Amino acid sequence: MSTWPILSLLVFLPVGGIAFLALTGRADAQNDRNARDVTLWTSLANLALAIVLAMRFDPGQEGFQFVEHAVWLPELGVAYHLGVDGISVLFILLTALLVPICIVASWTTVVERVRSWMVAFLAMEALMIGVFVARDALLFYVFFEAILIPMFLIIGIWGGERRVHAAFKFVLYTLAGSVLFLIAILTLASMAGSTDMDRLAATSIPLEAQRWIWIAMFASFAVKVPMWPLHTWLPDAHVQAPTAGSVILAGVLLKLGGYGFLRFSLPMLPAASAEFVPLVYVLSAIAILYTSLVALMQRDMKRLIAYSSVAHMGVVTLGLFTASARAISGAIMQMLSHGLVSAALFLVVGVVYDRRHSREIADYGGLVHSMPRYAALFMLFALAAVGLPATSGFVGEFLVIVGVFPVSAVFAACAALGMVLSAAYMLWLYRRVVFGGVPGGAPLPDLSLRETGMFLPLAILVLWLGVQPAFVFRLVEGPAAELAARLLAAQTGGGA
Amino acid sequence: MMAVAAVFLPLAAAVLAALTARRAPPVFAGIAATTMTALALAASLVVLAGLGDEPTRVTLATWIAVDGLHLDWSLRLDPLSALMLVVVNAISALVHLYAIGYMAEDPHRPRFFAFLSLFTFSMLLLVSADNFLQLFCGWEGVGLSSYLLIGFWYERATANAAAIKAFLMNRIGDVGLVLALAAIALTFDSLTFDAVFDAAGSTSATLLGLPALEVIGVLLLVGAMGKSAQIGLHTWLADAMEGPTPVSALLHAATMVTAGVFLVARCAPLYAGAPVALDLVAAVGAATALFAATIALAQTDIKRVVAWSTCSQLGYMFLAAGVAVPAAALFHLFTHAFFKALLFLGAGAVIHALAHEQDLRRMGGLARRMPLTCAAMVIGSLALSGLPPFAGFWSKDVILESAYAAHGPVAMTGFWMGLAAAFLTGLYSWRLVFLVFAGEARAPAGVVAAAHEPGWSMRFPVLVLAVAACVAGWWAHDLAAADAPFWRGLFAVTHHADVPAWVPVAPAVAGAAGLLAAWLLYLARPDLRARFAARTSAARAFLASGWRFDALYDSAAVRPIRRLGAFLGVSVDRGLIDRHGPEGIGRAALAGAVRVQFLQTGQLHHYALVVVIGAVLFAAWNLLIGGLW
Repeated sequence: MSTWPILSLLVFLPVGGIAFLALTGRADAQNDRNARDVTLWTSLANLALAIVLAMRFDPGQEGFQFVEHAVWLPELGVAYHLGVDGISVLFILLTALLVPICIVASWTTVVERVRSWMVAFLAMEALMIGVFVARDALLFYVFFEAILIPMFLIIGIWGGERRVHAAFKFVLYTLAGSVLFLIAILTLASMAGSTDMDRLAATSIPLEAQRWIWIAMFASFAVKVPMWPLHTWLPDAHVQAPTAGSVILAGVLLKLGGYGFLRFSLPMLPAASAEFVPLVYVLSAIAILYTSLVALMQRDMKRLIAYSSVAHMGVVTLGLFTASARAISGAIMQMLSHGLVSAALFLVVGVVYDRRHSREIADYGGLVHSMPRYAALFMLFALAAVGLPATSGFVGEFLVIVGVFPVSAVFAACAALGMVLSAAYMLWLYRRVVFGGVPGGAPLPDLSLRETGMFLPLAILVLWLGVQPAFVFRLVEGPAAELAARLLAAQTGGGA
Repeated sequence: MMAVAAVFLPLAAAVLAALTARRAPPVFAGIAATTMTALALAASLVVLAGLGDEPTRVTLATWIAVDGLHLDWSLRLDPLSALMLVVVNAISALVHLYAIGYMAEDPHRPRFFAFLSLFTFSMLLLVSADNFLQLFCGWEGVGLSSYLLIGFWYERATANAAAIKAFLMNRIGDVGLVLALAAIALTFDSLTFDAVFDAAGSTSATLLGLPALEVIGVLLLVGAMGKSAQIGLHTWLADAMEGPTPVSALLHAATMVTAGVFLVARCAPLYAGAPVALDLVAAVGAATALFAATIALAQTDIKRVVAWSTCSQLGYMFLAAGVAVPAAALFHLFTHAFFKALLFLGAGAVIHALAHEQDLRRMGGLARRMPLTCAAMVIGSLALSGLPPFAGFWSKDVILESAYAAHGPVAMTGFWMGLAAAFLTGLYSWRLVFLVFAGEARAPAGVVAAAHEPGWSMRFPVLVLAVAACVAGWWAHDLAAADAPFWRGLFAVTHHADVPAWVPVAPAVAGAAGLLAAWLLYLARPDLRARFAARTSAARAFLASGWRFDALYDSAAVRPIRRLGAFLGVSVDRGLIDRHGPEGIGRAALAGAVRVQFLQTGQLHHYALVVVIGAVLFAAWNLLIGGLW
């Protein structure tokens, strides 16, 4: 095993960047430029570190790797316990990739309080990676909730016209669920005598207690995913958030709910999870169909993509609660793909927003004439969102359908119907914005080198994961199979 | 190696055309793409010639391997895929060549050729697949490329609408196909052709309380109906005419609508155990054959007549597959590819010559101006209406004969419907020929005077296809029999009873009768036609609208769905859930909280500092207390 604490390094490298930024002087043009440079290089170094982690990770080995353990609050059984399995590695990679892209995306568009902006993003990165490496429930909780603070600032300071309202809505609503999550953790800890997540997963909990804890956790995770009908904070948050904020929100923050299910509900409360499968299925199916229909009629591009996110996350939750390694692997794949694709789509909107300062679909048209490169990339990401084979969007969706079908053909059909609806709203959006007549105003210039640069890694990954997703499945297959086995045992045998 | 070239050269052509779009001279893309497709054709001919008795496969890479489900990117070489490789590449190469001339004035030629080659590649990927998922990948690629090509003239609102309509209609079918794949994966625990087909004969699995093979068969049929524009999911095909004519030729002859027929033929081992699903295939096919033929009668747009004829001919292919003679279906697919491409390219020459006029009512008298095109269209129409010895005669004859011989109630009904459709086919195809080439010119004099034969790049493909439409049926009539040496035992041989002597003659007679009726109405006795027309205007309007399917779908599905979407978005999502959910909680919290006022003073950036301090303290805590390092 590793001799140097690579996971701690991943968490604290961005903190080092923050410390450096704090040392620079007053905000002037020179310092702003420095702040950008420092942040970009810090986040790139973290990406390199994440890649090293992925390369040194051994998917053949069971359990968690690169474990770090230090006593924190011994009297409460709380420890600074880090570790990763294949699932964590993938989400760390996703996070480490998206943060530098966000920095590049805001390179010229964020001109006020540059330093604070950069601090907020580095703080986000540290906290998000913290969530993915934490193996202690309390530590997890601290990271999980602390993320709200920088996100609150990103929306509240650099957001649109109604940013403060949206920021409060976002924080208060997600916080409401989180209180219950904390209670759930404390209840669990009191039963297991520890907050160590390995210990919690190994403790068998009576079914009655499992139910209540499950519901409390569900309240928190379902808001984050978000699942229908707890999703309405998301469109507002996205619409008001600056582009980079939307990218992180859609790319990583929405994955935290699903990640919570993977780390808490499913492994620790398998019996309750098995019991609540019908609830999750119904809510997921509604999310897929209902929000797709709502997305169809949106006039605001960001709002449309926000609703489409809810629909795509419906496929994720459908897969996560299916006792099949195919479905769970597919759901994780879908989370990753959505992380890339929705991030790219918010960047796509951001590019034209920077040029014309409007998110209204009706204000655009015929962009293909002056922006052919933009049109081509937009097409690629739209198709990935539609789930076309040979893009990352297809593989996950397909495996979820294949995994769910044996359980219920009806719910598999709902997921498949989502394919038609997603094609409807995405292609219609694309047609209105990129094709058709040009409304008044000067033609918009095509992508700059900087903008092309931020899209390119996403485009390559979307195609690569569509054609060669084996790398993902090597990492998630083991953990997914274990979760599926637990869920299946709970469904057939009852009890934990 | 040859197989890889046959499939991937068009992809290389697409990439090349896209990458050189801005730098190379505009003619380059067309010439390069045409050359590379022609090379792909040569490679596929080598593949066909070198075919062994057993299927072979070329594995390229692993695609998905998870939880026992293993799927490769690989090429399967057997008589079916090799035949399709040749047909697709042959038609595609000719259409590419034709498009060099047809699109000569379009500024976006490189993009056009990139899409055209991508279209070809997708179909090649589909037909050479060795598992259902790669087939699906090609299947969706075909849908995507057709979307791009139908909407190629993106300034036109109608082209955009037609492109989206085609994609969505296909996607509805795809729901069936995806669920079929899920059902296959559940039943056979594999998606590889060999594994599935080998196990299909002995399975007695059930799904949803029904025999699994029947369920799979019906779901596959839904997918095939979307792609092959069978009744119910057919409305996109006529609108797809919004694309440039070479696209129509390729789409109708080789690269798209034939995919459904291919799928049903490929899955013949599954359908062998699903008699009910098979009857459904036959019923859908027969219904489409007759239904589309009636619509073709009343169209006034030259391309739409040909488009509806495709729909009808695809119905014949489904009928053949449905009476368990997939070899006959593929034989008709083969002959149809040539004469349908010929008809479209001929129609394209007419449209090109008349300054983009597509209305039959403004054509006429073109035989003298365009004798070559006229001859080509006559040959194409002879083949389409199934007159001997032209290509369509051989294949249509076999299909109807097999339907009669199959003797089931569905097959017998299918026979009579197919026979009626054969009569209508003769009528509408000769109506087209007479309206375009005979009689007096109805176009403005200047346009007629300027009408001329197209250049060599458009003329050569038409000539080749005309020859093929003459001889392909006779030359390849072996294909119709499942026990022909060519198929190498790919299809189960069905022994049907002998048929009465009149049955094999009937389709040709029906076609000839249609020709005669057209001659009577459009050449010999125009007065009869005028009287007939006056009495049937309502019926003709009904037929011209395609039995009002578009209006029905619009009022029964499209508009209600939009209204539902708007209702859910405004009234439910914002008015109900949001108002009483997050906003309610937010209001409650905002009302009483003093800290809110503090946060609204505009001093928010101070909070960034708090984050830093918090994070640093957190780090320090761990360093000191935890003794981490």
